[in-house]
Amino acid sequence: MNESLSPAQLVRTVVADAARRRQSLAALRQVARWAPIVAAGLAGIALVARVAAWPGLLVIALLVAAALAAGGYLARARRHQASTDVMAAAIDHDAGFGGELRSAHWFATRQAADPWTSFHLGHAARRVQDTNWATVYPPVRATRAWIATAALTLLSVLIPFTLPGRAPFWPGALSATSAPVLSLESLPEELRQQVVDAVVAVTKGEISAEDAVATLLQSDAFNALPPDAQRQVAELLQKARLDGSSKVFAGATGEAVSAEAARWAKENLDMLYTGKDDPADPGDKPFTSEKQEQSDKRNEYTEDGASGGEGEASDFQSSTRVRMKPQGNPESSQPMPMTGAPDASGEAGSSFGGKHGDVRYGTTKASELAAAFRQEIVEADMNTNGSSRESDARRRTEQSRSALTYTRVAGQVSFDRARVDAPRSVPEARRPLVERYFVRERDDR
Amino acid sequence: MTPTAVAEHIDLFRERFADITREVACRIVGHDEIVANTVTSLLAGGHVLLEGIPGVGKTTLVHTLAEVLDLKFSRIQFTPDLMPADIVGTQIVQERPHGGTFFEFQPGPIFANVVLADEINRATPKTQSALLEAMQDISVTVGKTTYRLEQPFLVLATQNPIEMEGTYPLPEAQLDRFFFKLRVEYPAEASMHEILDRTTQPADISVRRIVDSSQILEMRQIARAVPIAKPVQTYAIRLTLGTHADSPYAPPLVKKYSRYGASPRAAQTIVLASKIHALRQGHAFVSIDDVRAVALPALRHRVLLNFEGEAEQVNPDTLVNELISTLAS
Repeated sequence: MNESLSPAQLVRTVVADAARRRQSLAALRQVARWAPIVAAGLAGIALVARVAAWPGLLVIALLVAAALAAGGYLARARRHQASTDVMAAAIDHDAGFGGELRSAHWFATRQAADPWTSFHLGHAARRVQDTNWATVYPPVRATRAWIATAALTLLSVLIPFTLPGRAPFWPGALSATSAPVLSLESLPEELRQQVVDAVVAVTKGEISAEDAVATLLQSDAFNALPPDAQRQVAELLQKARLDGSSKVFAGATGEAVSAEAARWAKENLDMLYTGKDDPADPGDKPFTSEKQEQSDKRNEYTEDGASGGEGEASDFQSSTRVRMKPQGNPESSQPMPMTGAPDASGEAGSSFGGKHGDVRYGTTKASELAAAFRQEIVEADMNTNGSSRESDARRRTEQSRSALTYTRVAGQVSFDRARVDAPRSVPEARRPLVERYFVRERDDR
Repeated sequence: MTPTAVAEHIDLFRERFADITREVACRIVGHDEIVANTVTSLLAGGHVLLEGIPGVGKTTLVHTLAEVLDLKFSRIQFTPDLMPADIVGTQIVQERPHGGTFFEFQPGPIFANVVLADEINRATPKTQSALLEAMQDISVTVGKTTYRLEQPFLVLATQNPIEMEGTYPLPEAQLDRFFFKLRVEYPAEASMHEILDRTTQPADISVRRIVDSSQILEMRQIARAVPIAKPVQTYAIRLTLGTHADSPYAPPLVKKYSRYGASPRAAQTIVLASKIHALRQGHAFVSIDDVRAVALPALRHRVLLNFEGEAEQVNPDTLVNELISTLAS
């Protein structure tokens, strides 16, 4: 017995220590019970992560989280707590004190000068001191559980690194390598220069973006690009037009204009693909918003591919209508509606003016068709030639028939008084009747 | 008092209690728990209602106990024509030697240390109530004079549970005054052999006096000095409250069949009996187990059944046992 402690203090101390030991053992028992299950779950998640190409970091993060949770739970159980009657009763029951420890603990927390109470406390203090608490609360022996947990944890860690075809470790790497990005360096030298020249010309306002695309479409190297890459270049040119010389040329003049435009094109090609805003000017709106602002500028007619009847136009040509710019005699060019006419090219209903690559008319996949329609809508929005009631009505009609999701709200139609027809004149024979109807005589009665 | 003196008191109490029960057991066979509870009631200052069929040794038990305790014993056979004055005593006219008369109080059989009220339910309620004051206040009032009864005072009442015709069941107020209600069961076959061996031989078994009244009063003081922790006392209180149908501690059976539960006197009974039970074990403290051990005889006669319980002949012991087993400590 610790001579410096009174029986009451000793009883309180022993109860507090035993309570902490009891709680920590109970917590350890719980951890030993659940750890293999959690480890097995993590191993399963690691396997699923391999199949579903989830990042390997997920399993590591879950492992760390589970370890932290278990550690926190154990630490919480080990922390010192004020002993309560419930604790004392539980310890009394575990140690087989027959209620003496619980009763003594209650009296130990009170000031008791009663000889009976002193005798009771002294007797209880001797008993708790003689008790072998290691026997009452033996250490948790869960060897199999710990071994299983260790094995499963090791398996969880190894699976992301050892199984073949594993996913990239870093989530960023996953997104960076999952799809190709058109970069300026990847273009052939000739095409690269054509793109830069087009950017310079569009920026200076010498030609429109649509004309620049039309010019590029005459290049075999450009036609050889995938449709997404072609679309990316077209959007680059549109952005060049919107950004203007202040951004594209960045104040450069003379020969430096081309180099600056190349630098600008290089930066913005990536940005266009990832959908990021211009890093140099975070206050700008995203490019897609810029496009939507042009929604009231629509073109009435588009060129249906480069040469619909010949069937030589690319897929990009057929899916991105370029506004036909009148050259020479405007009547010489045959205006065609945006909707592909059955006899214009391809098969009825396909709305494609030409064909390209492996796209077969009439058997085009729904996803490709949807992409083509969506691009058509975007291109129509980008037209700046104004709108007419006929074209708006036609587009709305098309959109209402389409199964595609239509995300853009049509521009508000403004009332133009000049375009309002005068009401029909009332026939002279009926004029008195009308006057009598609207102009009532005053009743003076 | 020093802790050493406390230990001596505990040992003294334990030895005397064991001696009493051992000596009574020389004549009473197979009823050790009944004997122990009767002595417990005596040491707590309470009274006992013994219920059992005729011939199981109720009266013998009381006789033996009085002999062992060296106490004055009297027996009252309750009958329908028994009058209160037959119990408490009466004023009688006496003649003076030199002429004239005066009233003199003639004490009744209640003036004893151990009173056996045999077949108490056969007397009228008026006569039964004559015991009320004696049992509660340890005094009787005749005319304008109150007479104190000698301590220790113990009423041991018996009643027959099967022959109920022409009986007057004890009112609740009187039942509540009994410390314990003990059921004297029919003895087992082995005990029957022992009974026959002891009672059919020429030599009568004599018992010796173990303690006197002053030693009994000393044991009472020791019993009341045992400390009880509040959590244990709380458990005793909840046991008492749990006999009421509208109590949150009442188990479903009690809620269904109980009309009225135990009074606060029951909690006093449980705590006092628990202390004596603890001393019997040589403990200087009261535990939950002590409370549980004495709860049934203390509560069974204090639980009043409702109509459903009476109709279905529910035993109050069932309700009390259910309460003891379900109430968390």
